[in-house]
Order: sequence, then C-alpha cells, then structure tokens
Amino acid sequence: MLYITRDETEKVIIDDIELQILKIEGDSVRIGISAPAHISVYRHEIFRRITAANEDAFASNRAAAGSLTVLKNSLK
Amino acid sequence: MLMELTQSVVGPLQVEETSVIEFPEGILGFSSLRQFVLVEYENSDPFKWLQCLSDPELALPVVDPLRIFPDYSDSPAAEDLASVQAESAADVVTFVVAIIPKDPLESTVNLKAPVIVNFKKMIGRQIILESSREVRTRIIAK
Repeated sequence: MLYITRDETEKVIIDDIELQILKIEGDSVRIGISAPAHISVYRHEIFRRITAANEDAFASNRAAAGSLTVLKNSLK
Repeated sequence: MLMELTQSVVGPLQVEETSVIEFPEGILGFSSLRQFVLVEYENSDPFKWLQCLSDPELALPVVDPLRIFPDYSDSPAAEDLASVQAESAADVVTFVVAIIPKDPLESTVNLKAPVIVNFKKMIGRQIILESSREVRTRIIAK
C-alpha cells in the first residue's frame, strides 16, 4: 500500500480521479471525489454489506423455489 | 434469435435475444455477470428470478418492493437513471433483491440497493440509494 500525508485542501490524483481532503474535524475527514461518470464510488462498509447480501441472495435460489408459496401466503 | 439454457432456476429455458437485460457493470460484487433474463416461476408470484445467462446456476430472486412495502418510494438518483439511459423514474422498473433461506419466513429484501431496469433499452443496474434503508429488511416482521 502507498501512504501519502495530505493537509486540508490538498489533493491526490489517481488516473482521472481527483481526491481532495476538504475538512479534518476530530476523528473524521471529509473527502471530495471528482471522477468521470462511469466510475462508481461507494462507501466501503456499505459496498461490502451489499456484496455479501448478493452472495446470500444467489445462494438462496434452489431451496427457495418450492418454499416461495409459503411466503406468498404470508404476504398481504 | 433464440438461445437455450439447458438448465436454469426454472429448468431448461429458451431465451429470446430481445428479452436479455444487459447489466454493463454486473451485479455489485459480481461485476462479470453482465446478462440476465427475468424469469417468472410458477407459483412464486410476487417473486421473479433474474437468471444469469453466463452461469445457469446463478439466479437472484427479485420482487417489486411495492408488493411488500407499499410506502417504498425512494427514487433513483439522476445519474443512476442516466446509467440505464432513462430520462425519468417513469422509464424504469424497480426490483429489490431477496434472500430466501431454508425457512422462507426469515426472508429479507435489500431496500438499500435495488435493481433498476429500463425495459425500453433492456439495460439494468443495481444502484445504491443514499437514503437510510437496510440491506437486509425482513419481509415478515418478527
């Protein structure tokens, strides 16, 4: 991993993505990200939670097929 | 043109090319899965399956969130709509991905990261909403 120290308002460039340290306040850092539209930016912990949920959703398919009617009856 | 999946979540499946939904970015965490078809499974209404074309073993159960949570009205952001070449929220259909474990009463849906599909262009994307929705929301409250 590469480590870089930056002060408030300073930037880092990664290819065509620009990161700027906007504000450092106590334990949190506010970062501004400028990136082309096709680049997706996610908060790491939310992204991980979603990919884990997708894994579980893919894993649900076989046992689920027969049991969906049970669920349907429980829905309004 | 017609292609045939010898197996799928609903058994052998004939797929019309026009019914293939392109996911240019795949599904979150599964960026290589780019093509899906929406399959209806007998008796499983309101659930449908997003069947992956490149791997017949993979299918995601999805459901219209309004069938479960009538107050779910979170709109996709403008850039999310643009990513599926939609001009307004009226151009897309929203699904939420379900996790259905052995005990279906324990099922959850992902309200934080719905799948939007522009059926006019046959392009889909799993988006992440800024609103504080849960990734695993129980369908049937405890």
